[in-house]
Amino acid sequence: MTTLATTAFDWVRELVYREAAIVLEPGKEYLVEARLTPLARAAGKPSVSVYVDGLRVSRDPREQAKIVDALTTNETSWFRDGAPFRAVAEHIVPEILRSGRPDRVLRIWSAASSSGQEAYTVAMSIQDKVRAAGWRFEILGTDISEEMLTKARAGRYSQLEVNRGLPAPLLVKHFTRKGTEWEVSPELKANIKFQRLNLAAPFPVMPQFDIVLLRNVLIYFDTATKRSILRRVAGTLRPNGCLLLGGAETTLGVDDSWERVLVAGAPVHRPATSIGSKGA
Amino acid sequence: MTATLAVDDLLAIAGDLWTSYLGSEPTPSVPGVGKPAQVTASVSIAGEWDGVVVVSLSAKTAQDVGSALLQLDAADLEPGDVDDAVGELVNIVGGNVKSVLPGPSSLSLPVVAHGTAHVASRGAEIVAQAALEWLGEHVEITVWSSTSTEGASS
Amino acid sequence: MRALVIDDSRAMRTILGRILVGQGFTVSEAGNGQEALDSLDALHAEGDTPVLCLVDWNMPVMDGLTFIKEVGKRDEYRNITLMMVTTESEHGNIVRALAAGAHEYVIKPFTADAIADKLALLGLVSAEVSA
Repeated sequence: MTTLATTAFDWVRELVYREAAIVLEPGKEYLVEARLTPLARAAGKPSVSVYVDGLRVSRDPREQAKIVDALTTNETSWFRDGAPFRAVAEHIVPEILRSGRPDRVLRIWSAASSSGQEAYTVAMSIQDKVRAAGWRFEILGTDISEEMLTKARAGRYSQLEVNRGLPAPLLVKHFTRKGTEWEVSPELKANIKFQRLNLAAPFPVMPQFDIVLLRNVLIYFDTATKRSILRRVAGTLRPNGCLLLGGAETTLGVDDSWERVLVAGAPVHRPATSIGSKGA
Repeated sequence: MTATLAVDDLLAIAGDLWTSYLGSEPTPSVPGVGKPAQVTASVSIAGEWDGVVVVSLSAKTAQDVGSALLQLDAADLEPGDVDDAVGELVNIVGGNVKSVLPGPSSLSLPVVAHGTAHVASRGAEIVAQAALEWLGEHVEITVWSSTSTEGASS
Repeated sequence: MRALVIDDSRAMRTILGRILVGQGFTVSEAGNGQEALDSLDALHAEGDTPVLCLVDWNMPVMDGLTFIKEVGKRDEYRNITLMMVTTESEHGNIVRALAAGAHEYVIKPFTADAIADKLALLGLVSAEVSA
């Protein structure tokens, strides 16, 4: 029962593809309608179609950026999908800490960091182990949306957000109340940096990462862009580094230079050449 | 103790509450424009900060709250259901308001009154007041602080 | 799997009960901590000890914090998962409840997903595969 005009949908599709290389297939009208309705309302327009028609004329860049934001943001919630975090905290990180590498710095990239929950979740789950081993860690969170980056840097979450998949012992350990919201401790924030990055565009100079989390974001891109992203991500990984994708995502048929192993039930991808003698 | 409670805090608390249990978000409105409230639910806060949190609403809204929380048609609600639901509503608002104010304080069990009730006692003053419109009806949330010389009365 | 929902509001017991039934639990209800202790004893005698209690804080007769401490004294109830579900939301109160023996804590208002997420974290239901 969508009322979104075809012309409006096509214009939004082209905008989002041009700005973020994200493909909205026909049939995703409902998504556009749902995500843009709050923007239309905020702009005082009676419908998404009328709102988009106005922008096709005015081309207001701020409103266009809001549309890209609204359609590229995915919901994240702490440990809700727990397997990847267990794999990182209980297997991958301890293995690296045991390696006796001289630099003693663990580097992790949360490559579609959204409002920051994934980066903070990783930090909460590895902090004690890393410190106990005499190492330190740096987490880089990147996102295309300035609005999400601002929120991630603030590290402030509503009561409804902290209710979703964040264990109470970790809430009281790492957060304090700020009015009606909860804020991540400065201690946890100190190891995390958030900056803007468009996955579909060439990457800036990046450090070499031990772990890259690229969860539930490839699904938005077409195959050629997915392949390009995976190739460039491989270039940022240390030898034997790990890539974690979303539960329903795979490199298969997109980029075959990866090996997939299961770590504590979570699929972990490593550049094929770096796999040692041990298989899965 | 000085209270640091903003109208926006009340609206944020109400917004979360309404989206979680009542199916649709209320829109902010202006206090004092509605008809006199027919149902008044309150909880008191006592301790580091003393005062009362009051939710006032029409009889129809009270019934809508009962229907929404219990997921029953109005005709199927049992006696006491509407008061129970409205009491739980003010309990949730009160607990969240308490957490924003200086603590530690404790929260009383809710009291629900019918008819035009005067909750304010002498020496009490309004700290924050928010009004909402929901399903075409007016709802007000008022936070009163008691002055320290006034004993807490229930 | 048996669960016991403890809250003085029938509306809240109904909301929580519906969520738990949807997660595969058989649900009993109690209106305060004392009723809940009695209910636990009766269920235990029938060999149907709950695996989970959802516990409100502010209730008449016996509050939720006292209930949790009482359960902690009873060896036969050591395997019960205790989850506070309350509007009490100060940092200090969450710490108090965890110290008293609560395993998890959900702040009201909550969505059905919030309860489901916590049950998955506690290993009481399997996590959904959805993104």
